[in-house]
Amino acid sequence: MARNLNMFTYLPTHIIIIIISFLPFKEAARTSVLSKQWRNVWRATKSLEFNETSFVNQDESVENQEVQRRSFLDFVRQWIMAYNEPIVENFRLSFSRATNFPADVEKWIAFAIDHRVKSLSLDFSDPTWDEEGVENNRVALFELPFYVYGHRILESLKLFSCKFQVSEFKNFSTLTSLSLGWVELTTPSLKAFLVGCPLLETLSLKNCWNLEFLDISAPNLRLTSLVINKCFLDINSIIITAPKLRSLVYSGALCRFNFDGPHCMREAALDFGFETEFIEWGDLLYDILREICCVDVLTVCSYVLQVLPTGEEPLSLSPRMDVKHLILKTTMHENEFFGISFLLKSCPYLETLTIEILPGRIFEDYVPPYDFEAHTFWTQNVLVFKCLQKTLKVVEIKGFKGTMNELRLLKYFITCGRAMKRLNLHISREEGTDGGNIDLYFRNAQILKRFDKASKGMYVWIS
Amino acid sequence: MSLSPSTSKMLSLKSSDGKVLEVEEHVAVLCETIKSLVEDGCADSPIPLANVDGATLGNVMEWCKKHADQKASADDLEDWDAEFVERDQGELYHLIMAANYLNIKGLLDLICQKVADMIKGKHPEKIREIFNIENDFTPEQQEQIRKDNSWAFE
Repeated sequence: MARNLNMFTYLPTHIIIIIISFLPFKEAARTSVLSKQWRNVWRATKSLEFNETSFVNQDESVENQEVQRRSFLDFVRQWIMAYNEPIVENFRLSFSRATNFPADVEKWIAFAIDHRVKSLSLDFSDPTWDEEGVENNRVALFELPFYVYGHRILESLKLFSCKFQVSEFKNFSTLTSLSLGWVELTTPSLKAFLVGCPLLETLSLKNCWNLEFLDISAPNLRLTSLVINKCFLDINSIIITAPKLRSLVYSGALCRFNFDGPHCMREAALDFGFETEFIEWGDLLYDILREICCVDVLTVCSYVLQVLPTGEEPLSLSPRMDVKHLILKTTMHENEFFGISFLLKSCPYLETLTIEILPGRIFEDYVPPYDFEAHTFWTQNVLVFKCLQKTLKVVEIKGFKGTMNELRLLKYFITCGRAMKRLNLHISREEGTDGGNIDLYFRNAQILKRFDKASKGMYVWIS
Repeated sequence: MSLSPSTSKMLSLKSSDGKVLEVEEHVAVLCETIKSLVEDGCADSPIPLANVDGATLGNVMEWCKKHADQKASADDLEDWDAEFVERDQGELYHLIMAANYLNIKGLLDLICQKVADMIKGKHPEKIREIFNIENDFTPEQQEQIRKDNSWAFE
């Protein structure tokens, strides 16, 4: 085929449909405008996604939202009626008023099942719900139609704010991915899921409540990826017996993690943003890091940076961690300095450090392990850690503004990082309350070029 | 008959431009089309593949060989595939047509995913440019389509 020919004029339609089915539904719809050939091909996509928020604008008045919701309903009704393909691979529905239109919603789900859907996602949560609110009154009212339980070929299932019968989850012998959210989930019912879905590889729990504690254990569990997002536990304890687990993403209240038996975890992300008080839980955080010291990639939040040095051992972890890529979600407040130096010292093989500057909770009653001055911390209090001498090649900052604390820390990397190859600065696009703007941030970035580099080969990249 | 590597014999495949490729049977049977010929005992030597040119056949068999390798880990295959699809549109087109003709679902999905990734996140104008798609709508027609699917264009 010559270079300047359009391959789509030669491809058979059934192949163009495969290609379109790999696009998100919205992007598939946008191909209708490309040319006459593309006008209606997207209507045969095998990946259907009906999302109320594409139609309903939360900023509009309640009446207008109701009108928009009606047009969403009409759209889905017409779209499904006109669909001519025999198979739907993925079916996703996000609709916060399912209980007001049960006949429609049941019909749509039946449509997906009749079309032999493999990946089913039903999200009946309301986008306005407060994710950190503790009121547990989001009782899921829409009940999963019984015929879904008999659909044995499901590979992926997501149920948000949708009521289900745990005892019926015994036929899903091909299910590899399960995501539950905005729903009451007890410890025994979670266990029943794990036993009833023997091939499960990915499990995600979001805003679930009524869990006494979390017990992710079952015989021969194949789980490789676990996401726990803002769940409410009576006892903040998580037991994990998953020898194949590779990735753990946790956000919520501070928990005790118990890994029962060996694991081969490669990635862990810990966010304890639920904690609102400064309590000296450093030993607990220390134990968590010890449990996961074998990971390659570690992400921690501002809470960890502030509280980690409050334990018996405030300076570093023993044994050292294997972490090669460390991601810090930080506000770049001096309360976090001891935590940052703790991790740098504990990660002697670190190759890449990513600093994401985000808003976060800074504890006013923070007590440092030792007295210190913010302006001399990185020049007098800390040593040149092993990773800076040998392995740390890339430091990247996302949301750089050039505050004093940012410049102090970066000066330390520039003047002490002997293996440094790149310093990537992604300048913040946010206007500051104190008159800061992107031009000022760029000027601040230039200051860094004045520092003497410890590594001759280091390159500063600003974007 | 078991198709394990140790017992695998060689098959000859003949491309549309007359090139003959010797391939181990356990590799070639990743093509469902060839597998049914072998199972039916119709695998004459060489097997004529009238719709696949020699260069494309070579690429297809390279993919099959990698994916028939029992030792390759999932991560390893993923990295290898990512490199494999870095090709110009002409080659991608021929691979799609060959994967379709030889009935290799894994390869067909891989290349279709790659083409979808080339479309993803881009403005219609950019997509037309990449694939040389001629816009045969009038501005009015185009406006009407956008209006009919306004939810997708906002």
